[in-house]
Amino acid sequence: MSFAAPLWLAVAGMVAAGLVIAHLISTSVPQRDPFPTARFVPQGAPLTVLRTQRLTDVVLLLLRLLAIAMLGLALAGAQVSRDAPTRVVLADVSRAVASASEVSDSVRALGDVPMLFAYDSVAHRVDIDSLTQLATRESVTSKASLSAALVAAHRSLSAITEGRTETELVIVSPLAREQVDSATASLVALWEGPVRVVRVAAAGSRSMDTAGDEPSALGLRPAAVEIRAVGDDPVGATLGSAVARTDAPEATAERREPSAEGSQRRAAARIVRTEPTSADSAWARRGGTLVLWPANIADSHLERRATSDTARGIAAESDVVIGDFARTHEPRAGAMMVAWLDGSAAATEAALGAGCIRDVAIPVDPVGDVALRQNFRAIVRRLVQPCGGERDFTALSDSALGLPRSASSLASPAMTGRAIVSREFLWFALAAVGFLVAEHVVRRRRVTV
Amino acid sequence: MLRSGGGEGPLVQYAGLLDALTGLTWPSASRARAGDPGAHRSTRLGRSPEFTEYRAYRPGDDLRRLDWKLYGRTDRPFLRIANDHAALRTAIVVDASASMRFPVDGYGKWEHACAIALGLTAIAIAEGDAAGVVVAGANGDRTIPPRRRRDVLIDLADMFAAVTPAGSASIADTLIRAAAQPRLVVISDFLGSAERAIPALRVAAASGSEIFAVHVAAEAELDPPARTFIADDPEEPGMQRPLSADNRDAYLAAFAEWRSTIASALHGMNASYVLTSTAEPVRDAVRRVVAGHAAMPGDTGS
Repeated sequence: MSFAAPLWLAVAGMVAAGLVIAHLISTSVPQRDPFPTARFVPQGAPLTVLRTQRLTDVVLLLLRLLAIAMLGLALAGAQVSRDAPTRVVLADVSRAVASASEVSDSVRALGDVPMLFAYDSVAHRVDIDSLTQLATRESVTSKASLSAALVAAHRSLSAITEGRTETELVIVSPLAREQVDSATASLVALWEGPVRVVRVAAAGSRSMDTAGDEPSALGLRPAAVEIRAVGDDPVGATLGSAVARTDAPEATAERREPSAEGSQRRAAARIVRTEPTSADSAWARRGGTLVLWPANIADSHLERRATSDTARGIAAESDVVIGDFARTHEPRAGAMMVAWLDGSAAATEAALGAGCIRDVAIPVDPVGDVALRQNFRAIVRRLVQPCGGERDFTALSDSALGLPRSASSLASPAMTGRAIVSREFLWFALAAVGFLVAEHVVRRRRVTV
Repeated sequence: MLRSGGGEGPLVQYAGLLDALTGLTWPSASRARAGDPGAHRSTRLGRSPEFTEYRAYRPGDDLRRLDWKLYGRTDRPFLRIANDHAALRTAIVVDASASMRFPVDGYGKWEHACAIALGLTAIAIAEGDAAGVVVAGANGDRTIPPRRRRDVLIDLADMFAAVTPAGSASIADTLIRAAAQPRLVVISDFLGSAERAIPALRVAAASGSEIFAVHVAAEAELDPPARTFIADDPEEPGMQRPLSADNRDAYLAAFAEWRSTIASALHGMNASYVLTSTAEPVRDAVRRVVAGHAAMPGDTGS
């Protein structure tokens, strides 16, 4: 048993000593009853009877001492050690983290971590050694979901009925904007114990200069998008107008001839409308976004569909293009980026090394106006985004999670604004109230007898 | 015959007492003053059939009372003397001061006094006497004038049920107003009123009234509980004295001496004094009153 404020024990001890003394030196007033012949009682008798040097009302004394002891323990913040976890740690291992080893070190610095979750798009329960191994990964492209990690943390406590209000939630993360959604703050608010954020450096905090000329897998905006196509390719036209309308000042569309090594110098995304080469795969493995979008789908590497038909449109989240698209082939398995209107995949993404390969099975008619439509341009912009989608590593403040803003990485329970009432406090306080009620009952019973 | 009032009235609780007192008489200790015909011997010698004695004629005597047959035989004039009988108006004064409400819960002095008053009234009415009751309370007297009809018992029970003893009323004024009655009964604990009640009774005795003083005491007053408590006089709020085993004997002695003083004063005016406890059956107390026995059974008079 440990005490948060042992001074209260001393105070309770002094009060108890005073109570014992009061019971040793006590005066009692007899009961007052109507008695018509009181005038014949001799005068001069004292109204109070003084008792000294004798412990009186032992039962009452015991009840009072127990009540004081319980109050002292409650106010002293007595804690009974339990096996229940006192801390749940969520370690961010997503692409938003500049250095996974920093996350690992931060978790180790927390000391005893009975329950540790590593999370990116999903959360896995790991131990500290496994987290260290995760830190040795070369690159990570997955986007983190803090809400998914919080759900996993909540589920980890579902089987625990005791000590939930004392279990601390520690989030080791740069707290990037992209990993927070509308449910995150609510999930944090549901946590019954204290919550604190241990911040680590975000990947976006690296300067452009240190990123080098290689395509970045660390969240940098694409320095350039290149396309390898033959002739007047409609996607090239779309790409030219699409990147010209982006807000990134450094974004430019470069039209390169196939396999030009020098052209890879600043490109982060590459659209290959011709036959892909091994150099393309190697480039993607180093972190590039390789978009395999054959101009002639029929002779491409894509697999032919069992039945060919005409799709009435394509959609990528809120961007929808209505038109007739001959659906003859389908992309390889991977995360769906663009879907036909019937929900099947029209473009997928598959990780490859530090980068990724995106298969696009959308035929673009060079004659029609599809390539010039605004929604089609938006879909093309999505396809040339860095692996894992759009990145936003802007660090959020603690208030975004409903926590008070703190200068340090550690947030005390008082700073979180939550009333921390421990289970022991309730026990001892209730016991004190119970003893006081019993004392009252005993005292009243003695008076009426 | 009692007027019909249903069987649920306050008088019902006294039914057993009235049954127990059936046949009791309450003869006057002295000759009653002339008045309505009744069961008590009158001071007046009349012409009733009940012969008493002959007396020699004295000039001025009523010649209608001369026994002419005796005059013929003896040639001396004698008057035939016969006792007359008169009724005795009875007034019962019941003390309703706060001290009579003890014990507060249960059967107390007030209930005991009411039962005694009703029993005496019933006996008096049964003998043909007119009987009335005055309840002396803090808010004035509540009076039932002397009547001979038995339904006065119903009114009496109703009045007792409606009265709650309170205050510190003195019965002295009530006794003075009732002093003209030939028979005056006072039922009281005499606490707080003895100093004025005794002279008032003395006035009544001097005027020829037959005085009966029934001193009602609670069992707890005669034998206080052994525990220690603060005795709080209901009639004197400031009087609070602790009664314990240490001063219990002194209390008993003082109380007994006070009762003895009252008894002596009443005996001095040729009044009947009866001390009764709430522990004593009412019928026994009433019997002792009408028989003129002062002491309770087992009472040593201390």
